[in-house]
Amino acid sequence: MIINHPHLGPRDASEFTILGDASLINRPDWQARDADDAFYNYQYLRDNPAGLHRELWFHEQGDRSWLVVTRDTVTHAVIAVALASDIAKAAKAKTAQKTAPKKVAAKKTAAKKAVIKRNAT
Amino acid sequence: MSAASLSQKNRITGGLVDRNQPLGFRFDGQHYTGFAGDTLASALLANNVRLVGRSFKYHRPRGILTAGSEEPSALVTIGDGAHQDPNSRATTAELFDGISAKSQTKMGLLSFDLMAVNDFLSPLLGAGFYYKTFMWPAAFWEKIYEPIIRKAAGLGSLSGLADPDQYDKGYLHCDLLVIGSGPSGLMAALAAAKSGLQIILADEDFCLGGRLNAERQEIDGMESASFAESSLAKLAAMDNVRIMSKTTIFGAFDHGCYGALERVNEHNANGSIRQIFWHIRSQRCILAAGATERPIAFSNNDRPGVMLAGAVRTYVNRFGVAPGKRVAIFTNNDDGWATAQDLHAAGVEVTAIIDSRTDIAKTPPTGVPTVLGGQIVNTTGRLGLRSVTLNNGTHIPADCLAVSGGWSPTVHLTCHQRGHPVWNDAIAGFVPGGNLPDGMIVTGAANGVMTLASCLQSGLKAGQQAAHDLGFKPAVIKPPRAADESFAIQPFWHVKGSDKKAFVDFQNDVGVKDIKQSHREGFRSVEHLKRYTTLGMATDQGKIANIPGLAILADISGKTIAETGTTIFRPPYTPVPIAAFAGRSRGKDFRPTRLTPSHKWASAKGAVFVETGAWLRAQWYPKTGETEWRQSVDREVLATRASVGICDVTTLGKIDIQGHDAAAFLNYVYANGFAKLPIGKTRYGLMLREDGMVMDDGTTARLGETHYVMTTTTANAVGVFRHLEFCRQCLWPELDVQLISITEQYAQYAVAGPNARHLLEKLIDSGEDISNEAFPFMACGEISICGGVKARLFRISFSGELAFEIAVPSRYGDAMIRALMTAGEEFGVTPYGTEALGVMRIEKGHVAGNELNGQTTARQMGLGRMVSQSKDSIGLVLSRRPELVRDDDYELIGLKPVNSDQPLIAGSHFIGIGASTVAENDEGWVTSIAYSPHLKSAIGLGYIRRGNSRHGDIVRAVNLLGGQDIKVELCSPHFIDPEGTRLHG
Amino acid sequence: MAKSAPMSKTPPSLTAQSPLGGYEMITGGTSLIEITSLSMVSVAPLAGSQTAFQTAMAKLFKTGKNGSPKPKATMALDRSGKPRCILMPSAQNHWFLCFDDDGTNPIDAAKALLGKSLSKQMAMTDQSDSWVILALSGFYSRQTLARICPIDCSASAMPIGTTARASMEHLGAIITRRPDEGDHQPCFWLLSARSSAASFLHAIIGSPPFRN
Repeated sequence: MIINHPHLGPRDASEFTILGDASLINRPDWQARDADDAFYNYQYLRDNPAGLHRELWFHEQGDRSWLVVTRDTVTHAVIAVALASDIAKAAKAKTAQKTAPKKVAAKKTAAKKAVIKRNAT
Repeated sequence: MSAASLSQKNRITGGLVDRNQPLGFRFDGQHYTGFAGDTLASALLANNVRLVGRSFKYHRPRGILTAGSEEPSALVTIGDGAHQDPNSRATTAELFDGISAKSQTKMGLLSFDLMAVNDFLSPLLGAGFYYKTFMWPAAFWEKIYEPIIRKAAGLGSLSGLADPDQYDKGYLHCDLLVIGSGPSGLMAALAAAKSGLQIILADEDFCLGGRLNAERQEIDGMESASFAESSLAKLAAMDNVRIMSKTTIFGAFDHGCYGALERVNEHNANGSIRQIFWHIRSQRCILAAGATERPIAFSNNDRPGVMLAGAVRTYVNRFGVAPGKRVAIFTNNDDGWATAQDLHAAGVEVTAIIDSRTDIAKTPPTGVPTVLGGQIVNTTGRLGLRSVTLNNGTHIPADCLAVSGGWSPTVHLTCHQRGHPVWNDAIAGFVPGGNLPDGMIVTGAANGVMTLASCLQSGLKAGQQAAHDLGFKPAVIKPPRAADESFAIQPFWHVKGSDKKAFVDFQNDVGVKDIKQSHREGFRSVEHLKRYTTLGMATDQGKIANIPGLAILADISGKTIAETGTTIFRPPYTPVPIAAFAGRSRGKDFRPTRLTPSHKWASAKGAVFVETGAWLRAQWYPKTGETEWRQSVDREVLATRASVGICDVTTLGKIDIQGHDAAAFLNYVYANGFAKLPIGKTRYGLMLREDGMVMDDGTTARLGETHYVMTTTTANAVGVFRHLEFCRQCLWPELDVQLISITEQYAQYAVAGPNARHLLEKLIDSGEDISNEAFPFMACGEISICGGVKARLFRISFSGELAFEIAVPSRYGDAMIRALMTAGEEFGVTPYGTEALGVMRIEKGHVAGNELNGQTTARQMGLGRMVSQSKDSIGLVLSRRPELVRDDDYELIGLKPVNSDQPLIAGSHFIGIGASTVAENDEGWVTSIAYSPHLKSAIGLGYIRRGNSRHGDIVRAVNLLGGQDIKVELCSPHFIDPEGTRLHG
Repeated sequence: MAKSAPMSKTPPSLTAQSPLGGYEMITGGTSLIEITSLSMVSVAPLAGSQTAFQTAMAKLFKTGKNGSPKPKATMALDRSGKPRCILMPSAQNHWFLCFDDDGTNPIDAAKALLGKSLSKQMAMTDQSDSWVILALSGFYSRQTLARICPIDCSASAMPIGTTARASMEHLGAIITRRPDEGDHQPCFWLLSARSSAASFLHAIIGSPPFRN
């Protein structure tokens, strides 16, 4: 099998070790109220699709990069390869964005409340 | 030379053998002569040897059926003793001077096989015989049935000796791999090579050209064999072409990877490489593997002398051998008529052409009788063909019968990625279909193109297409002038009513009768047919048998062949010796060896080494007079604790960690806190897996503001590094951290014992201070030693003694151990190995691999409180799962036998006094054991439920495998210096 | 560590050894020579310093105008002339800076090459004693590589400077194509771990033309 490394070009799969489902990138928040369940799901529950699958591969005999390889488990076709660090960074930015507007909204609510308060007095 | 020719009574003129190079060989002890360019089969036929083996099941006399790798019958053992190579196909084995071959599957003489009685018992030995017969009683299977079957069945046998030949593997890369060097392959290679592609042209034969060498055809006004020769010469002259003869492409794997077996020096390697297993990576592949001829089934169609028609032409045209004096031909297509022409041209008598078709108008060679609509119903001749009997009752004399049931495209490699061949009525054969392997183009006969001019053209086009696909400008080449020979076929698979001993699969003795029986008993799909009857199994994998077999099945079921379908093929195309897969990775070369910097010194000292992963580590250092390992180990332990000992600890994994966020990173990967570790200090670190179990442990030293060095256990060094990279790249990519292994960079020695400091003080440069005040327990730092060598010193201890680990750049590793030993002379310094290291850590109650087996938690090791609850770290959340924090959990304890003379056995289980020895009463287990020379008793570590509260209890340590059941006392795991005064000294 | 009173005796000095003791083998026009006296320091720019590193490297290797503007993941940079100075890619955002060993501490020497301010922004680790380096050169060197190196080492696939990590005979290795020698004879450096240098050598000389 050949994995087309985004920096190094096509490399033989024997240079890599596989970890499995790329969902392992999305490690839950340890302080969340549902952390116990979230970590349990994170650690043990995996999809095992016949078809497209995103997997983590480590270029152990290469540049030591972790890659997210999108692969068809039926035909072995490799559809896409990306650096796991890029994907992890993007995922973190997305999470940050999600929480950011909430804070803005919260501020607005606080401001409204303040207005109401002022009006009351 | 003339003598050589004389002995070969079937040798005729012509062919590609070199009559100036006679080669002597032996078959079943008899001496014969052949010529360079012969196969073993052609040389045997030249000497009129027709009987070459016995069949697998019925021990029927068998001869040579084909002239290629599809051969099911002519399997022989080549070579003697350790060199003996069973199941070699005589039809592909290149003849060498002095070669010795033996027939197989016989008891006694080949001409009088004692097992031939099976042939008379054949009514009892039909399909499913083994399944039905050896069912009962079950106890008979191992002792009685199996040995008998094993002795009677099977093909050739191995020598039982180690293979004395050398093998290798290698890697090749190209733009285009062309498989097969017949007309299509040659044209494809020429077109692609002239377009500028890097190409490999591979063919399993030792003489390239495929059917061009086996036919009498004309191309560009030349004989076809000459055309092959000149085309190959053109290719050989090009820099971008690698021609690989004797090379079988045996498998097509994912994404353009191919497996190839090159037989470099078969049967005469003399110490050089015999075979090479090549991994070929190619952008494109052109499969020009040709087609395989198939037989027709009728009674006794397997007598020596019955041969496929194409093979008859090969022997006549390529090898200059007449396979018989009087040849009859049985055909369902025009191929038989071409055979008659070639035989006639070579001066061999053709006694009849029997064609199963009725409405054809073909002209036979002068004087050759023809029987249209004819069918052969039987043959005669015990050890070789004498005559054939037709459906009209006539007997036709023949010592050779050329049979052609048509040709099957060689689609094997197209199936290796689950391509599924489809039926083509025009050629009465399966052609490639479904998903072909990435980048594969099939051309010529392999793709159902069955005539010469069309093959040349289709090969040319394929070569041009490959060039175009890869962005090259396809070379314009004029197709060579050639004619398309006549090709017409009317499917005819077996002679009805002639079922008895009418063979389809010659290698497995599967006949028409067996297929009928399989169908009758409900095994009706092609896959079931194969498994039930063994049709298409063994070394030839049904290359000639599969299609007739399923055609007959279709006929019986009243279905078309297309409806019946076909089995598909897996790699390898032809058998590949295990030795070729192993290559050079045998014996000591199975895997590399890592040597520590003190290895040379330790070897000279007579150290006994132990494999730890790829490392060789000194296990103990025997002294003169020590006859038993325990003497050495006890001495090393006592000497270290009494004065000073030295151990090479280079093998521990060492990882350099740098970056502004290095501390934050360590806080994530270790369960305990690292944020507050000061510069110049070392801390024990406990690493969990995300599931909460302990992964590894070690120490991490802070060398600078943003600079740390982590150590891992020897066994987990690679896994921990991978895990750290996962954490760094996938979980916390925002952290500024860089990692690099420095395991190889430093030679590291543990100097342990009360005199450790005194010894080291003799080596450090003036101005350095390693007193307890300046360099206390767990201190670390750079230090100048031996006149300016920059070393690293760590005050850490695995033994429980006052100890240091000193690391110097590896180039000084050998000099360092010698300097340490010289400096330590006055203290009686003792080098100690991994055994003494193990004894001391057990005495001290330090956990190691046996306790960190991946199923244990920090809490069980007594380290539960190290898992910080105030920060996120790998494994934190899941380490709090209810099952992992049970009150009655296993806890680490120490143990001693109540009777101190008794040894302990690791792996023993704890059972209460008086309790019965059953799994329900199992309370825990012993992980590590040692003999403590200080306590003069065996000691051990183990896990037992509620261990912390059970010190002083007596339980049994039971080991049913070791035959031991003894009383042991549980105790604290710290046998020596529990307060730690020694290591703080 | 705090300084104390000078010791009375001078400790013995330590003699350095190369991984293979300066191995050399020349056969059939192909040579295999251990490269000694080369310092090797891994350098990795810390967060925010990538650009400064690239600019410094472009300057150090004078690649600004004609050559590659910045270090690439598959190509080594080479400062022509003496003393030798080579920057090999080793991992993502990670490089091996190699230069002739003049006795200076490798880290100090690397800092001098990178400059004072950039050095503070780099993770630097001495690797000089971690690797065995064997120079394989000559007409048949690609035949040798075909038996042990899974990577395509042909002239077209591997132009001079190309550097790749690979696994050879179960050993982690680095291959880098060096400038041709003599009459257009290709030259490759093969690097592998010091502790298994003997196994690595055994693998190479177990291949043609060193053996048949």
